[in-house]
Amino acid sequence: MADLQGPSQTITLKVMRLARPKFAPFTSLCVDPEDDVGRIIQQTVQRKTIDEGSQWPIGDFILAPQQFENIYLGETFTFYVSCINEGNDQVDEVTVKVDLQTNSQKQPLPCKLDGLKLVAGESQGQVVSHEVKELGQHILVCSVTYKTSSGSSQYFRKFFKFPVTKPIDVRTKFYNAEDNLSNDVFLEAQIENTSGGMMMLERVVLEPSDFYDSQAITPSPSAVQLRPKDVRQFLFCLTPKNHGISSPKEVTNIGKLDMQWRTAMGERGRLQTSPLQRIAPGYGDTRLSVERVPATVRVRQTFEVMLRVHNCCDRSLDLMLSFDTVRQPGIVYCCTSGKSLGQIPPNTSIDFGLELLPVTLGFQSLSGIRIHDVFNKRTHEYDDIAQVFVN
Amino acid sequence: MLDSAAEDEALLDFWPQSSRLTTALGENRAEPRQYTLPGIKYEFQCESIPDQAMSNISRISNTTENLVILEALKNLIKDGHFEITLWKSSEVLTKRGHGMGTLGISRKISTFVYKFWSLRFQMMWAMKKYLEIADEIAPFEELDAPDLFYEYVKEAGRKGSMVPFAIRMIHAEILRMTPFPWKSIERIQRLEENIEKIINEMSSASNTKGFELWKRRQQAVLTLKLRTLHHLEEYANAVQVGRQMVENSKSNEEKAEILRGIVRIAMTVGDEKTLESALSETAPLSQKHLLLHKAYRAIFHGSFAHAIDYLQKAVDGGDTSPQVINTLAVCHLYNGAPSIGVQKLLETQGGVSETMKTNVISLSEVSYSAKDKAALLARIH
Repeated sequence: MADLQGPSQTITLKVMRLARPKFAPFTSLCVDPEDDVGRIIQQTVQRKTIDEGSQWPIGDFILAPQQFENIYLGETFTFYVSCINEGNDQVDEVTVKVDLQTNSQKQPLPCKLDGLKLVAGESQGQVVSHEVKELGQHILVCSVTYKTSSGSSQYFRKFFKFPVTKPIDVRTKFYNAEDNLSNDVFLEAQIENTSGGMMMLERVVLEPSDFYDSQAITPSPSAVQLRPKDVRQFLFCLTPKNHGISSPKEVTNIGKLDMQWRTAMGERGRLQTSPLQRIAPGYGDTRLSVERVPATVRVRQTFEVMLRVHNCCDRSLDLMLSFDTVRQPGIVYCCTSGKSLGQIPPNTSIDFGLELLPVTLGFQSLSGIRIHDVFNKRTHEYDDIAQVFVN
Repeated sequence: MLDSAAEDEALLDFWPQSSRLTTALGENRAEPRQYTLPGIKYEFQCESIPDQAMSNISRISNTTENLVILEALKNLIKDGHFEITLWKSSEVLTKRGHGMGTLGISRKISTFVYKFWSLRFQMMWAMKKYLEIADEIAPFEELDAPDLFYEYVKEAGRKGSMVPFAIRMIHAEILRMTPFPWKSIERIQRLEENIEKIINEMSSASNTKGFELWKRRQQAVLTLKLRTLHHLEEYANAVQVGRQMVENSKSNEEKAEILRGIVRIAMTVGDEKTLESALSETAPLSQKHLLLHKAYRAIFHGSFAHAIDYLQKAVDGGDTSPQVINTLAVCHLYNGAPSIGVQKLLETQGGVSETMKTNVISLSEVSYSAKDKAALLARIH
C-alpha cells in the first residue's frame, strides 16, 4: 500500500475492503448443567462481555472487516471509499476518481463522489464493487481533487496494491469412447480448492459447444464441501448432437466448465474455463459405425444390421465391400461380397444393410467386414464391431 | 437444581466402574494405593485487589471450612474477580497439600479438594489459560484410576466418581487446544459411552430424577463434541451433532437456540442449504432472534439493505438487544453509511461489548475525522 497524500492535505481518503463480516470468535466454558461454579462463571462472563452466554462455538456478534484478506479470481471486490475533511474550514468540489490497474489494463470504476462540499469534520463515502476477472497484482488508484476555503486547488493520489490469486485449480482429461456403436466423449474434471479457506462448490456444469449434449455422470449433491487442497472429481458424458460425425475437426471444441462456489459468510465466486479442446481421434480415411443392430437374435433365423461408412478424408472415395468369413464362424453373411458402395464425396457417408444368419448359440461378434479403397488399393478391416446374443 | 442432599450427591457422582478399578478391587489391599497425585504447576498473581474483594479474600485465608471457602470463591467469581479467584485457588490447594512441587507426592485427597480443582480448571478456561490447564490436568491421567472412585477409597459407603463431572468435561475438551486435537474426540466418545450406560441404568431402575439429570449432562457433552468438531473444521459432522441435540431436546426454545447455532455454523462455511433448512425449522419453534437470523441470511446473500429491513423490524418490535443493534450498525457500513452505524452502536442500551467497541473503531475509521474519532473512542473506553 502506498500513500502519496502529503501531511498538509485537508482531506483524507480512506478505503476499506468490504469482505463479508465475520462472527466474532467465541470460546466460552462448556458448563456441566449441574455445576454451580460453572453456571456462575458463565453468568459473570455474560454480564461482563454483554453476550448471550451461549456455549455454542460461534456467537451472534458480527465484526466489520479487520483486514484486507485474500481476494480470489471470480470473486467480487467490494470496498468503501470515503473522504473526510480533517480541517476546520469547508472544502469544495471534492472529487474522487477510482481506477483499477491490472497487468493488462487500467479500468475506471464507478465512483459518484463528485463535486462534493464537505464542512469541517464531515465525511462522504461510497461502496464500489468490481468483479475480479484477472489474476496477478492489482493496484487501486484513488485520485482526489478539491478546493480549499482559500480557493487553491489540491490534488493527491493513494495506491492500494493487492494480489489476486486462483481460488480453484481445474485439471481436465478426455476419454474418447468412440467405437463403432457410439461417438461419446467423457470429460473428467478435477477441481482443487487452492484458496486458504473452506469452500462450498455449489455448481459445476459443463456448458457444451453446439456439437454436443452434456450429461453429468456423477450427479453431485447440491453443494460439495472442499477444504483447502481438497480435490473433487466430476465426470461428464458428451454425446454428439447429430450422432454421425460429419467433420471431426469441428468436434474438438467440447465446451466450457462453469463453476460457482461460496466461501465464508456466503462470499460468492464464479469462474468459467476457456473453451476446452480435445485432440480429435484419427479415424483414417474411412470410419464404419453401426446404426442399428438387434441385441438378441434367434439361431438359424436371419437378421439385419444397418451400417454407415464415413469418408473422413478430403477426397472422394470409391469403395467396395467384401467379407472375410474365416473371422466370423458363428454368423454367416447372406449377402454379396465384392459389392461396390459407389463414390462417396469428402465428409459424407452412405448407409448399407447386411443380412446375417446366426448358426452358433451364445454371444457372437460381427467381424470380417472389409472395405476396399479401389483407387488407393487399400483395405480397411473392421472386426468386432458389435455383438449379438444368439438364442 | 437438585434439592435433596445425599441422594442427589449420589446421582451426581454416579459413574461406571473403570477396568482399573475392577482390577484394583480384586487385589483386596489393606490400605488403598494412591494413583492420582496432582499438584499445581502455575502460581497466578494479582496486580491490584479492589476493596470489594477484601472480605471474601480474608474469609478464604482465615478459615479451614471447605464450604465457607468454596462460597467465598464463588462470590469472587460473581463479582467478576477472576484473577483473584485463580490466585486464591492456588492458595487453597496449597494449604491442602497440592501446592507447587507436590506433584507425585502421596497424600490423602478429599472430595472437596477435587471441587477446588474443578473450580480452578473452570476459571482457567474462562481466562483462556489452556496450556496451563493441559499441564495441571495431566496427572489425572484418563480419570479412570481406582483412587478416583468412592468404592476404592471406601468413603462412608458412597459409590461412584469423586471427580466432579465438570473436570471430566474440561479433561475431554482441553486436548483440542494441544497439538493432538483429535484425541479430544476419543475422550468425548468415552464420556458419551459412560453416560449412555448410566442413562440406561437409570431408565431400567425407573429413576426419573437421575435419568433427567444425566440426559442434561448428555446434552452438555454433545455441545462439547460439537465445539470440538467445529474447532477441527469438521463442519458437516458438527452440524450432525447439532441435529442430534435438536432431536434430544424437549424444549422448543432450546431446539430453536441450537438451530440458530446451526444457521451460524452454516454461514461460516458458505453452506446455503443447511442455513435455509435450519432457519425454516427455527421459525415455528421460537420467535427469539428470528429476525436477526433472517438478517444474517440476507447478509449471506450479500443483500445488506434487506438485512437492515429485518433488523429495523426487530427494533420496531422491541428487540434492541446488543446483537441486533451491532448487526444493524455493521450493515449500515455495507450500505454506505458507516457514521449511522457508529451512532447505532453508541445508542445501544445495556452497554457496549468488546466486539461492538471493535466495530465502533472500524466504522469510525472511515467516517470520522481524527479529532472526532479520538473523542468518540474516549467515550466508549
